[in-house]
Amino acid sequence: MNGMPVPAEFELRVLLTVLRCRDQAYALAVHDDLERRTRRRASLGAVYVTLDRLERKGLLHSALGEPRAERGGRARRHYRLSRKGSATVRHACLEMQHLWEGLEIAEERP
Amino acid sequence: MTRGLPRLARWLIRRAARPPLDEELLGDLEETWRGTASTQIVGWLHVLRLSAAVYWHGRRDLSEPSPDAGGLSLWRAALQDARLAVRLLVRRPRHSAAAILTLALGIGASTAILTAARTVVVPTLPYPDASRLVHLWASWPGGFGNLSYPDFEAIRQAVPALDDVAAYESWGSVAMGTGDRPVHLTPMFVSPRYFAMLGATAAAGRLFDAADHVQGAEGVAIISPGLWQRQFARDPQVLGHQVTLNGSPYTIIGVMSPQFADLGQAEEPPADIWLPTTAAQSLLGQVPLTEVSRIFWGVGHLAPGETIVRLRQELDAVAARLAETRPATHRGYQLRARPLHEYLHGAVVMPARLLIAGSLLMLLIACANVANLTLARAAERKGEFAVRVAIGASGGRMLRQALVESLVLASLGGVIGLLFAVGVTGALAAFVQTRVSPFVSPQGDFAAFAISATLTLVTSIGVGMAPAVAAARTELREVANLTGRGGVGRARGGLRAALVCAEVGIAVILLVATGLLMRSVHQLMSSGLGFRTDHLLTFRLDLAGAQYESADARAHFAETFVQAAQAVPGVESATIWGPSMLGHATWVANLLPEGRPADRPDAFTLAFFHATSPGALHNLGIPLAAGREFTAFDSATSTPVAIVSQSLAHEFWPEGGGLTHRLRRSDPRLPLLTVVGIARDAQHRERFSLADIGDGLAPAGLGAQRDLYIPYSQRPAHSLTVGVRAADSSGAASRIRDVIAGLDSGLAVDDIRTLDDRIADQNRAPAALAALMGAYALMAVLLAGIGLYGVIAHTVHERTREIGIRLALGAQATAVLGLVVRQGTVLVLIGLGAGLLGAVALARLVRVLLYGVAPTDLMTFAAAPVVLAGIAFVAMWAPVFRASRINPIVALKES
Repeated sequence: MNGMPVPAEFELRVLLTVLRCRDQAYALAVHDDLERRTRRRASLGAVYVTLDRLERKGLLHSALGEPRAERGGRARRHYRLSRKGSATVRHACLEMQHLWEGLEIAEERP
Repeated sequence: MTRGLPRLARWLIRRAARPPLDEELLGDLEETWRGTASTQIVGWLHVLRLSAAVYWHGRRDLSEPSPDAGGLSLWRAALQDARLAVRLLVRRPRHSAAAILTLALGIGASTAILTAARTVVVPTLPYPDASRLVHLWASWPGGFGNLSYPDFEAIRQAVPALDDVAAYESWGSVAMGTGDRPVHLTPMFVSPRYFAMLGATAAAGRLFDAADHVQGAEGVAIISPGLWQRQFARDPQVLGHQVTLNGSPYTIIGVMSPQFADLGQAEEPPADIWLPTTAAQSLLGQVPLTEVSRIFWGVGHLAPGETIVRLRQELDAVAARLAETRPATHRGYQLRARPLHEYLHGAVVMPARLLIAGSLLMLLIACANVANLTLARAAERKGEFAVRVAIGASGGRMLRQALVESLVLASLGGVIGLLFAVGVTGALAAFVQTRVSPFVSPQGDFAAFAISATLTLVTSIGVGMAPAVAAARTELREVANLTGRGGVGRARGGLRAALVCAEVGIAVILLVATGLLMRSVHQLMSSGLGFRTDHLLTFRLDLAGAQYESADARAHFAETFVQAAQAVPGVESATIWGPSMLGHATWVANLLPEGRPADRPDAFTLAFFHATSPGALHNLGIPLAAGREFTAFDSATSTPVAIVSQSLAHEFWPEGGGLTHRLRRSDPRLPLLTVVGIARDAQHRERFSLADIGDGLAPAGLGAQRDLYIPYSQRPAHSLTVGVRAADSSGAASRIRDVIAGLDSGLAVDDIRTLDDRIADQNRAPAALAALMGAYALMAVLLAGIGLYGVIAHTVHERTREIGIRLALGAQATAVLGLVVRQGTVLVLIGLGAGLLGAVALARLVRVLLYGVAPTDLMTFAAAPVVLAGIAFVAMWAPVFRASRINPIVALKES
């Protein structure tokens, strides 16, 4: 295809959540938002490690905010998508759309 | 509560997460900790769960390769791979053992190659600045050999290319008087500077200084450590002790260091005693040093910036001047120089070349075998690799696994190979030093091992990686096929077959070479010399001292001795021979029939000469083809006569005849010899001398026997050898000693040995060489067998299902076996054919080492394939037997 990295499913979820959290995208917020929207428990540890890995893959950038007293003088790390990250998310979603195109699935009733 | 995160929690998080993640986690935890501080248990649970999760996810993350994965994690992964590799090796013990053994043999063999190559290629003489030392000698029309002392003086004075030069002489023997009977010593006469140039040191006392070399100075001597031990029990009081040598007093001033490799050993037995050159005249009855007598070798040191080419030009100029000033002795005379290592190592070159060839072939086989085994293993595991790729293993991961597997195998092979290399090099060193040359000490150095180990390992790892690379490229759809049938690429199967053919071929080459050498040794041991060697006691006598000054006195002694010895009960005959020892002719004469032009340097023919007592040929059992033997009437005053060997007569007078013709010698001062008899050829030369081979001479068995016999009475040398035939050799020896003591109590007789004993000694070197080649051939055959076994076993394994189906459908077991056997047989036949062709080529190289065996000896060429076919049969038997026992139901179920 075109050499775009294919994120794993959990990675894609984290990327989308970072995108949604905008300037409040730090680990705890991402974890909370992810759990709220998917209505599933997610391991906080997995979120930390995934954010770290996505940054190393170059799909996320991070920056430290102001140091805060309630954090023991530590700053929060804020994440945002890199250009490569945005392209990857767009590509993955398009791929899903293509796969769905023309498929009909019986609506589930609660 | 405003308490911060507990120290233990912070420690836990820092252990679980890498920076900068730990800082972020700690920050977040500080926030949440405050929130849950009221219920500390919940807080702690959160910390524990979080650190465990981060640690676990982090580990899993690391197990996949990432661009910046830390070194520690790579090590962990490699360890994991190594554990898996060891498990795989243990699960296939036969395959693993074969691969490790092959690697070990390969590494051992190539270490031997490099060691041997270094011995020959790199001059490693035990002297300071050895690469600039040169050996000086001379050549003249019809021959080559030693320098005279005036030549040496001329070189010393007029050759600026040498900044140091010394003369030495090593031959004959001196009798040292101690106790009731004198002992024979091998002397070495050296000029000033000899010891200094060669870096000799004394173990005790001192070496010669300038005053010791002055003519007329008090006699001084240096003894060898061996003589010090034998005769003086390492007594330190020996320094200053006076001994008599051939009746004259000499003072021992030093004991030589045991490390010193004396140059005299190149041609003569190791020296027992060193004396100044000025002592040679009185001790050996030689001409004064100012007269021309060619008995010295020279050794020189090239001046800084000078080359051997320049030296040779200067030597030519000196030789030209000598030819002008001393035309009688120096016409056509040339002074020659060669690097010292060339002179000393000449004998080592040929056996070393042979061993290098043997080791190289061994290494080829080993590499082919490693490649073969690895390919076979890879073919079996292709399915496994493909499945692993299909379920998500990355290419890099697969390659790493393959690399680690190869490394584990290779390091096991390497360790055993190192042990093997140590053994081989030890054997090689012992062989070379005792049988070939005392001047080389091949030592397996680490570099040689490292290089050969690397070569072999690169092969094994290179081939080992191939299947992983192939697997990484495997398409998913191939997987089903592969796992279903355990199939193998036709091309790779072909490559393996080719490798086995090559192994068989190389093994045949080595077998043929070994066979030829062994036949040659057998010939040496079983074939006669052309005369009776049985019950023949041999020893040397040196008629030195004032009473033997005249030729008449020596001739008279010889005559009296023969009569007295023949009167001893039990003695069949006594014969004066010499000056060479029986079975070891070294003295030569340059001959030309009278009337033929001596214009070219090669006009003269070299023949070994023997000065004998009357009836000597009859006593030794050499029949006469024509003419007569010497009699008591052939005396110093009668016509000089000679008997020539048949080959020599045929060379001089191809049309026949030869009796009554006269022969001239290259020294015009010597009288013409009238041929009175023609003797059948007999072999008086050492038949297999590595030194001769080094000089480009074939073992004597293939050359013509050129021998000249003259009466001892007409050339009574100071040094003579004696052969006494007696049924009871040991009893006769002591009686002969008594006879000699009765004639002259000052004469030393030692080293009385039977001729058969001496010949057995001579045969030891070729036997050792054949044994070494035999070891290589044995390993080669073994490895070829392992290779063949591997391929056939693999075929059977691969075709288990097919064979099962055939058997289930009613095929006869023999027909199925035929399939497998046919495959193996074809490989062996192709290999045999190629190998025999190669063997013909190699045999031409080995030719010079063969005695009495043609390089295309039919028996050897027929036997080698038979031996190999036998081994092949054994190698194929096990897998074929297994194929015949395949149970169709089990075979089908398994697949």
